[in-house]
Amino acid sequence: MEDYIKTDIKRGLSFQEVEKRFKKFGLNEIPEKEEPLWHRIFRRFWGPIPWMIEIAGILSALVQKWEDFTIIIALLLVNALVDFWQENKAISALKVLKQKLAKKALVLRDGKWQEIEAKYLVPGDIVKLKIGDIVPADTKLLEGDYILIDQSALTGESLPVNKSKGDIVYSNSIVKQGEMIAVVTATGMNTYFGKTVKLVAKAEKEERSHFKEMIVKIGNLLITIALGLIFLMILIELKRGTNWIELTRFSLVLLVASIPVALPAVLTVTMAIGALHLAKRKVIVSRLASIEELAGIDILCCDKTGTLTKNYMTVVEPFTVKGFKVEDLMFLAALASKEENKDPIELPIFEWLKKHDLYDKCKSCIQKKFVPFDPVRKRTEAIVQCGKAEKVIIKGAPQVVLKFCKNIDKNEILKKIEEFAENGFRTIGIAYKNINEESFQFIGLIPLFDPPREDSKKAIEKAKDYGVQIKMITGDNIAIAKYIAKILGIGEKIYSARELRGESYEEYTILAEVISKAFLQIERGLSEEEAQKEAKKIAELVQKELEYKKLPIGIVKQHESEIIKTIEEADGFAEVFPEDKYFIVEKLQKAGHIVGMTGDGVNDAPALRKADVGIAVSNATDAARAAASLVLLLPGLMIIVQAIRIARQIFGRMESYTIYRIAETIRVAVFMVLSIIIFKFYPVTPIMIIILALLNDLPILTIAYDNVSISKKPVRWDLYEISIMSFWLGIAGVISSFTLYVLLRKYWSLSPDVIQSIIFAKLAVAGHGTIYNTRIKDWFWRKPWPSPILWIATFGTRVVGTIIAVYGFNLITPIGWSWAFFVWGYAMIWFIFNDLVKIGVLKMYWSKKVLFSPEHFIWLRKRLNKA
Amino acid sequence: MCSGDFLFCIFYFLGFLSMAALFGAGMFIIWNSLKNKNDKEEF
Repeated sequence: MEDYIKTDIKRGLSFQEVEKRFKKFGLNEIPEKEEPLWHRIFRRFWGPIPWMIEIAGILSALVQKWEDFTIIIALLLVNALVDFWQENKAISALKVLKQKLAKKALVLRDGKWQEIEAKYLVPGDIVKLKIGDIVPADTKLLEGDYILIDQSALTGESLPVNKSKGDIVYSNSIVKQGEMIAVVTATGMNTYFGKTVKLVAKAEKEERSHFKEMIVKIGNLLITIALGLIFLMILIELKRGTNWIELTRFSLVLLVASIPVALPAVLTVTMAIGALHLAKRKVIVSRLASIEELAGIDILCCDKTGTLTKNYMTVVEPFTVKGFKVEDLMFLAALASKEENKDPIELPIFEWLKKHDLYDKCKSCIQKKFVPFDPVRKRTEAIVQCGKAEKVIIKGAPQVVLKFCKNIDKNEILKKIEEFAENGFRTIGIAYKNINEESFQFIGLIPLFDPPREDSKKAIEKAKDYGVQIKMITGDNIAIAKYIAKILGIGEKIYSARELRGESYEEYTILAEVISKAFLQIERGLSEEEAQKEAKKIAELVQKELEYKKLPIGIVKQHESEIIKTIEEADGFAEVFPEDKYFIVEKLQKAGHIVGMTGDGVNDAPALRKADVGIAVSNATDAARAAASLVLLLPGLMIIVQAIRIARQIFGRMESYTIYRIAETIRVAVFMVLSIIIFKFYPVTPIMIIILALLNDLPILTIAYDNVSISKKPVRWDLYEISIMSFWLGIAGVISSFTLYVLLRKYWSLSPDVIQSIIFAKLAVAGHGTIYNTRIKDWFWRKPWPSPILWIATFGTRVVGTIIAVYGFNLITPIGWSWAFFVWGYAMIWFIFNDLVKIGVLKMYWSKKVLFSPEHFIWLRKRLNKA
Repeated sequence: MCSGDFLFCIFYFLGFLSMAALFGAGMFIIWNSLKNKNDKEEF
């Protein structure tokens, strides 16, 4: 390997060499174990549900009911096919998403720096590692001062480690600070990460979202209902002396029809298809379940820069101290910058120089050393040689730069900074010194303005329409934050993050004033009035000093509920450090909010992970992208609001399908079991149940494409609402089936086999009507109308069900067209009745008066007391 | 024509109507969706 990593650091590998090495070492990725096709197919026939169908099939063969046997096997195959198709869709959707999230690496090849997908790296490649990067392969550091590496995911070390020239940096660790050039020493499975990947995979905890919990709860509920009812039926029927083979066959088939086998698959596919739709809108979902949380967020904490503003700075009118010209200021600022880094703060400086024909002057100096900006140091530093003179230039937050300067009237500069800030300008300060000098000479300030994006105001209004509160988060000072918030209509309550941290210095200044007054009175013997005057001046000085000092947390004690209240009420926060974001998210979550948080830097990663929906904005660092559940490929807030809208649409589809499925289980299982127990009558034959299950498979596939209404409020799984709605719709269905049975038997005195066929036709025609009841929380004719594909699937299956009932095809007793029309009319009347039930339940639920709910009993008691 | 009692005939005609109405509604939905296919979304 030693030979492979002796690469020319100035040119990198040649393309021919890369090709050769690529053939030898292969892709720089950990190959994933794909499940073989035969296993994926076989899996469909193995498990409790397939076993039930298989046993029912075998029993049918034993009693030589060959038509039943064929249809049961058809159900087994169709179920397997549908499941396989759904899984395939989800897998391919996830593959597309994964591809869009591919890691990138900055590599030097044939003398040119270029960004490539990290999987194409080969040993010997020269790469640049910079702040926020996830190290793409095992590398050896070659050039640069030092780099701070977080390798906690690999080694468990909780603190970042300093690495310098000659050190090895492992693949998948995160660069927390600094920038260095390195050579790739190992790729793919040969990396340290590759070797320990099995351990890492084991350590990963299984993610349990609200969504999965909800599915498990619903599934358990339905299985319990179905099992309970069927068990009761078996007991009574065995007492009546029914043939046990027939009874087992019927029970198994009924169980298969009642249990929502497809529920998890349908919901996952609905989300996967929704995720693809989001991907087309340049929003990449890295965790499917986060779609559900996105639909539910009620607070979105949003970075100002890049999301609300253009993230494209322009230089306004620079300020210089006496003795310096604007040209000097801009020239020195350029020398303390690196154009190739394309830093948005530095680019306008180069643009200004180009505009004023001073760009070439930069080439007369050589940058000997450059320390890039990082959020902790808040400045860049460069050592440059211009002719014989060697200078150190610092460029960064003016307050930080000022700290390095002496013999200067800081008040005048601070006033100027304040003035710029009031106009919403971001200011950078520049200072320099000759290499041998002690302190720096302050040169001036460059005001930069990042104007709001054109669509931000509209997006904020839209978000408010959807019940999402936007909280602006910025590292800038409070004046800039207030200015932008005002332009965008976010609100006026913008607080400094210091207040949240309990770093408010108000108490200190009051204390300073009181102590100074006492001191001046006692020590200097000043009169109370004079002492008060002097003490005020001292307090002002203390206030200024404290303004830029980081105070220890917890000095000013504030109750958590007060902090939460402040955060809830605020429209935004200024002077925010990345760790404050975590704090804000944590407190909001404690207050029961579902919080979205945007971020881009390496230090944002914990907050992104903590938030219910972590959103990595476009051009975010690898670390932020890895921590986020949504990755944006386009800038701006509008794209997030759009994503929320789409997520609510997906959620609506899932909710309507869930209500439909539970209602159907109640309708089928309760009606059949009760009919057997009470009337000693099997309302449908096993073969009919299987045909019904088969007919049900097609509309299931189209649910993911339906048009649904988009909630104007954040949505959450409300299991109670779902259960109440399904319960009443289910009960309405049971009543309609019993009424039909009584009419057919008592009023028209039809034979049992014809009654069975008519009930079969009714279940086929009316069953899919329920989808139209549950798909919208309004009258069924209101917009949004169903998607054509849903209509085709449901109408098609109704027609097929009707034709089977009309002609029988030796499977069931034929009923003819007259009874078929009758069934359609009967189903239509009940469909309208069901819609009335739905609207009634919704209205009662929204006013908290649904029958049998705890609120209903409270309401009823109040009414009775009044009476 | 319907060859049953009054109740049967009511449901029979309603069934005929609902079949036609559902078919018509479906055709309208398809036509409407094709018409709006290229329309921009709300945003």
